[in-house]
Amino acid sequence: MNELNHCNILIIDDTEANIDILVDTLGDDYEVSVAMDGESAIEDVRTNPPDLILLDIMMPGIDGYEVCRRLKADEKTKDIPIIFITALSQVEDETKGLKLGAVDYITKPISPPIVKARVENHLELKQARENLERQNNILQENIHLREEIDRISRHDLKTPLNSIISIPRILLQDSRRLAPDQVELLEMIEQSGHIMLNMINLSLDMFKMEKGSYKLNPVPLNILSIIKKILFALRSLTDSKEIKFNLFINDLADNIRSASDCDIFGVLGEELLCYSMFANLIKNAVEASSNSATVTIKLFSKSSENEQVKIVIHNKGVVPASIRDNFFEKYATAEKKGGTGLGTYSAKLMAQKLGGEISMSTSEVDGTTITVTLKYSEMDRTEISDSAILSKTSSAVKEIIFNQSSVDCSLPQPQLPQLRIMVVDDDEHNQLILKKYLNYPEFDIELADNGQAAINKFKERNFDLIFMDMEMPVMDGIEAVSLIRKWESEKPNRGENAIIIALSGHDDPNTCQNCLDIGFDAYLSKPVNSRQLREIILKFFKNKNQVEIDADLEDLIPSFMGDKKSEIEQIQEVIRKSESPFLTENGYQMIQKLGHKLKGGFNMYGFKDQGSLGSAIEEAAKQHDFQAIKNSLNLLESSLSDIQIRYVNID
Amino acid sequence: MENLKKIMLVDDDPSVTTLLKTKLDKTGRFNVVFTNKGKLALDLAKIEKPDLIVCDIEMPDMDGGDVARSLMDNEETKDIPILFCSSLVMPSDTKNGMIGKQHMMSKAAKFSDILAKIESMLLQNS
Repeated sequence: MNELNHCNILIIDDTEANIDILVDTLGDDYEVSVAMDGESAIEDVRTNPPDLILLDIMMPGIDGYEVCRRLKADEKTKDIPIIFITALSQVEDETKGLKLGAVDYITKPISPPIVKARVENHLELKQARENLERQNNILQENIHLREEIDRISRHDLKTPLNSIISIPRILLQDSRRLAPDQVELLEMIEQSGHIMLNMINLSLDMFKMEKGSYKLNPVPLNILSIIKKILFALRSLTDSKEIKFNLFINDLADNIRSASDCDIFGVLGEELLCYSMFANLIKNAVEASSNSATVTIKLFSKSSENEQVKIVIHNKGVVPASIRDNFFEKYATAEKKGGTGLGTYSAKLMAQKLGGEISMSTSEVDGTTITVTLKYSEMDRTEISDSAILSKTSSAVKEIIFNQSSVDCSLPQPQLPQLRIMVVDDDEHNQLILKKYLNYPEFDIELADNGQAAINKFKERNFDLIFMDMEMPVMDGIEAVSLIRKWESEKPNRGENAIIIALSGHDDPNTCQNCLDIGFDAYLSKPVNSRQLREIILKFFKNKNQVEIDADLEDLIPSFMGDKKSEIEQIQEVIRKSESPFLTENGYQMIQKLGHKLKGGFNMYGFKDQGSLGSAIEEAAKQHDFQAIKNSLNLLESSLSDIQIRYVNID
Repeated sequence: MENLKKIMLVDDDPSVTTLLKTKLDKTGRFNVVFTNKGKLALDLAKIEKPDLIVCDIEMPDMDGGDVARSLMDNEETKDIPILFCSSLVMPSDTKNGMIGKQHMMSKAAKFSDILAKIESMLLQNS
């Protein structure tokens, strides 16, 4: 209790005999000061607050109760513990003192051991309380800090990043006006933006894992197909370095053989986490390899004694000595251009989250080997679904996957309906980007800076469609939408309700559901691209799917449609027959030809939207973009399902 | 009847040949024959001796370029003008129905433009 030595104790009493006893009792252990009346005591406490007060009740001038009441009423002095000194006959009255906020009382005649013990107790209590308060403050600060990080990375960073990613894309749409080196530079800006976006998303997931708030939903996965997807996504990097991959499976009987397309290697995990982790590790292995080297990935089936599988990634590079010991630690990086030191760290977090382990060994002779263990899972063929990877929102991986296809902006431009659109966003750049994306002659676009401005405009004239940011000054998106919906319900004769689409930096399912509950029709996570905008517009306004066709062709249309539907079915057949999320070379070629036929036929007959979709299928097949093929095919099917043909005389 | 011009269509997609034939017949100015096999184009041209051939480019059995070369290499058919009609190009890619020295129309072009192109080619050749 050494620290208590420095404690100040103020004795407030008008009786010298009492003061003497108290000073004698406490003077050796504490710094003691004395006040002989209430008024001067209060002044002393304010100028020089003690750690504890011993307070007599009966005093000339203001009494002890009043002193206590005044000290407790003052924010600055209210936390100082007060012990009343009271005559035995007044004990009954002591409840009054305790009610006023005193912590204890001591009865006269004064017993030095009791005074000592009580004073010590209360000083300790005070210190303990202060410690708790300090810790509580730190905790609250942490929570605050955490919210800050979340907010900064989600909104503050993503909003300007949206411009960085989108503006080059807008400029590139008219790439004929640009010199080749300008195109290249713009693409570099765009790519860097995507890398940054991935880092933000990744660090948010990591943050959740570090804090233990990441909720794992493990399912059986075929790790082999995930690795193949990664190899495919990395192909431009691996091609440029001419890296060769060996993919081996080591089965229970310890036979090593090359993995084939029909192999299944089941683990229990989350597809996004596994993808992210192995993408990091394999990319590192490729980057650490010299040109034309080989990277070997071996999958070891579970052994008879435990339920763990082992995945080993080997490359011939060596981890620099400076980071060998802290290879998996946060920010550990060496000599790698653009390395953040987060890749291996997050891989370790993810492996642990998945209930596995990760380790590394490296030497000049053997190169570098990363070993990951994961939980084994039974898996049969029916459980394999390539769409699973896209079914969960959030996280860096989604960006990685979507970036593959979102790069292509020269996609179909199906006929758009005439619409009045309002874009509500407080960020000027976002407004302009959306306006650019929606720059079609069919659209009449108006901008608003916040929810209140949006409502004012909305009351002046009807809008068919509103894109609404969520976080805005003056009035946010949630409030604006509830007010717009309320206004609409009070004016039943004003025609159809507007379609309102939320734009938000948050993409967790809760926020999304919350938006839909409040009155939004749909939800887009920022940054949005032009294709997403077009798709969502067509989704809500496709009832205006009417085409005008040459009356001369009326007799030909039924058999023409029959032909086209059979071509669509042939594409579906190719897709159905594929097992992995990638088609065979032959499959892509077949789809490319069928897409070409759809394009030519639809265009000639005057179905321009469908012609563009045929063209998109052809193009996607050429790019081996499986997801884009499916997207366009779905759009084509749905556009045919409710198409209305009007025959007109065209001369 | 004797002044009807004969047009021969070559396209692997029957819906395309049907459409062009329907539209061309409708004008009353043409006699239209067609084939859906590139390989049969030369033989048909020798028999029919058309005034103009409208030919697709991408066909599975024989592509439009090879069809045109076989026609030009043959004494009987070398002077027949050929108009390529393809979905490989967009209407904006062509200028007056030409790409370089080739007569070329997009399948996405309006029929009236394709018809005008056919008429002007026939006029040049007569």
